[in-house]
Amino acid sequence: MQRHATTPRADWKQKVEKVGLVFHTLDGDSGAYWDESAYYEFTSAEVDRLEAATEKLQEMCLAAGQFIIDHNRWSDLKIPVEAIAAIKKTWNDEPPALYGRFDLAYDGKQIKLLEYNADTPTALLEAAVVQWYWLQDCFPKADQWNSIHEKLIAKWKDLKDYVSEPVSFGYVETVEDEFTIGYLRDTAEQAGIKTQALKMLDIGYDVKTFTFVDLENKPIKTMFKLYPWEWMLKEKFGARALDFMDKVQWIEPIWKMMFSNKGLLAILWEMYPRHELLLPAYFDGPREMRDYVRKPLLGREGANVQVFRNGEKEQSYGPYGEEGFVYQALAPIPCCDGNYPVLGSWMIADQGAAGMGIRESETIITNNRSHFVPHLFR
Amino acid sequence: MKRTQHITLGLLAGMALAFTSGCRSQRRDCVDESGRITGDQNCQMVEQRRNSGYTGSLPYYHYLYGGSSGGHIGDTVVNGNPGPGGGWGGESSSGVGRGGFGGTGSGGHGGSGGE
Repeated sequence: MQRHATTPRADWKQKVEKVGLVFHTLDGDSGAYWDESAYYEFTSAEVDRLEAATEKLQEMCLAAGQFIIDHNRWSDLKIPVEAIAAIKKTWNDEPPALYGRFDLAYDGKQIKLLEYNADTPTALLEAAVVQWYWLQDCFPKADQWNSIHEKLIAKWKDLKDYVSEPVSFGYVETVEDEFTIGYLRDTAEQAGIKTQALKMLDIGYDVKTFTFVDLENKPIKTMFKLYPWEWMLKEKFGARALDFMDKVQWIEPIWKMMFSNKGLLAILWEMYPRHELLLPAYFDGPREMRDYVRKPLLGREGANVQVFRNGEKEQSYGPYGEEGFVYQALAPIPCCDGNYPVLGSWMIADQGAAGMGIRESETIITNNRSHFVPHLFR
Repeated sequence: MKRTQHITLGLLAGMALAFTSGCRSQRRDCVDESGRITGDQNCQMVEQRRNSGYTGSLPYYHYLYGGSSGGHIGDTVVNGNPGPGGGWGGESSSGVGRGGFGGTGSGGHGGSGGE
């Protein structure tokens, strides 16, 4: 893996906006979120390793899901008691699921799992579409690990007979989420599925029929939500979603709460100690580790993370952590020209490992101020 | 070859065009009882307290959809609707309540539901 500086396309803003990346620039003075002043180059063999690692991690996570259920590890993950029955039922019934993103550390030798964003992963449009167009323009003879777009469409085609149309796509009213939802709707519609966008705040609940309804008061039967389960369950309609779980196909299904929880890292280490793709991780403290990271079980976008390295502490702030923490060994993230890259490896359900997006940060903590940098391989 | 052979965008390209040409979907403003634009945090605070089960009196902040205004704090929204489709009434006579999801993302954590 090598980082190369390069000259951005003269009209890069117009080009990325045209394909939906209208949120290409960070607020304030933080510069570009989409950063094509550099790119990462991999060898074909490296990509083969990353792809195989992603498939293996998915297999291990599925085993971990069964392990959590079989050993009642709910309290370790701080999953609310009232959600357990629904998690078990959806795990066994296998309702539609779409995707997830493994965040990986890679230093050219070791591949290590940092976390699994399995419920509400983003940076999808950038990985699936924007870097693909960048490659066509800048390095058309090179290859890119990226079949995310065609695998999403293939997955929606598989789901077409199982979902109820229109499929509602729920989101919070931010530009990033609105356009991520727009992209996912686009892939569903290309698979022949009718869709509609619906703000989470606009979801209605009909107290006469005990059903969730859209803005025309029509029942919502299939709902893709870019909104985490742990938030939903704390909100006014959360209990209703659990009570009437069989009336709505929620995508992602509620069993994803087991994966989108940093406690999964400690469960995996317990099941697969010293596995080459894992870092030591514990619920009860750092144990023997000197250099480690304390992550909130339900933290998001690098908030409330503490890094302990060489006896010193770095930390980020935010609203998370009251639910508890997991302690994970510090990953071997290389510093490339002053930047720390994290590889987001996409898994499309039943389609397999689908591609990669890279976010890099000026600190070892990847957060919502990170930059997305394209990649290629030869 | 590990990359998608061809990408065609339909719905998303239309959204992007609308966004960049200034023709976004309907605008929403948080207004006070006089219809003057205030900060979004006022409406989010009201929604959060309602969602948490608070039943006492709350400041009269609410959203207006569409309409016209200067778009700045203090400007008055003219001809706005209380609901995105032309008006809903919260816990309406039809028995449909709204706002029971989305409060955390809109308020407590200040943003995206994705990560």
